Amino acid sequence: MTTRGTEHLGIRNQGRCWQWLPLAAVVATLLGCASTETAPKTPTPRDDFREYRQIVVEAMRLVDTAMNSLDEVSVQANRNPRPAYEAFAKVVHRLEVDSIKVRAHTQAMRARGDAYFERWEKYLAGVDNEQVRQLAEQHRPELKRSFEQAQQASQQVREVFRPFLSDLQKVRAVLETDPSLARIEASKSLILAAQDKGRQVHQGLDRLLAEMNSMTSLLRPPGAAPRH
Amino acid sequence: MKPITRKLVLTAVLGLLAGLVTLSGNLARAQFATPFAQPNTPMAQRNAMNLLVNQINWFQNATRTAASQPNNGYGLLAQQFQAVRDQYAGFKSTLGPQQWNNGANQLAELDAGLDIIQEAFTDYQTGVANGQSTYTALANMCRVLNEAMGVWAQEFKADCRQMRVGW
Repeated sequence: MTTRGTEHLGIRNQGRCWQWLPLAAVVATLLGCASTETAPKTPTPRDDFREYRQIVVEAMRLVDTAMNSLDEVSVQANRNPRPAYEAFAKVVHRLEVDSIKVRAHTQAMRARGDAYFERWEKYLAGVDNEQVRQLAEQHRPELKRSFEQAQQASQQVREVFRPFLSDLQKVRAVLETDPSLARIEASKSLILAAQDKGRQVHQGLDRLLAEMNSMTSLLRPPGAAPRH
Repeated sequence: MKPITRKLVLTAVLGLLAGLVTLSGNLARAQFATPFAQPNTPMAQRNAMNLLVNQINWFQNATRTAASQPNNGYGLLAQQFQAVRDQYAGFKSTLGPQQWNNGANQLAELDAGLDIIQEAFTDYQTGVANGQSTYTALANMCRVLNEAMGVWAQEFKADCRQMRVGW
């Protein structure tokens, strides 16, 4: 074959390569459509403990609001109870939905028992902050004790919350069509029972929060400002 | 290569590639339509997660229409909620041993969350038994289920990120 022929062949080969490029682009596009994910991102560890503490604080606020609105229904009974009732009904609805997180946490703690604490310990053993890791190791017995107290408090909350919510729902149902003085008077014992249970729920959440604050302070490096 | 043969090859390759893309999508849908034990590959996990999110969306849609169906709204929602549970069980079967270990607390909380949401059905029955109108009890139940499922879905997605589901 002559040089000229070889060169001509080379040009022809390059031309063949260029002809395959559109196909390659189609292939690349199709493959891109078939796989929907790009490179995985590094996960951000959630601060479960701090989040749980926030959930407990929020639950306490909800219970307080429910109790206050129930009181207001009684207070307004001989004036114009309808607006107080409407506010109370809204609060009950909020409690039904917004309490799910704290109830799920307390139920999981009870269901998993010591394994819940062990999992949390493993999480602490892997945090970036070396001081926190050392404090977790150093204060393990106190943390375990605090966790056990928190479990008992969770149990109290769990046992009383459902009956408390049930009483609130009953009051809502009874007063729904006719939030009059007569109806409110007739529901007095139910209202008092709901208030009593609400106080028990609040006590349980208070104890739970106290133990979580105790655990937080055990894990706080010296000189670090408290975070809420 | 002769032009006709080259055209045939091109057509065959393109056809094969198009088939592969379609098939992978169909396989994903067919494979995870029922909640049986699944492989724990990242793709299987992503598919299972997406299917569950879709099921939750359908459930929330159902809560918006069921309130106006006092005769069969309850049954419809109970059925849809069970479908969510089944899909969640299918999702969990795609998780690997390390994900189960690292996410044990989160999974327990998600399990508990579904149990608590299910209490809304009992609350409906209690309300009606105590004299509440079916219509009002159903409307209350629908509102709670809709919002509660939204909260649960947020927690589910956050837990999936933490457990590195699909990575």
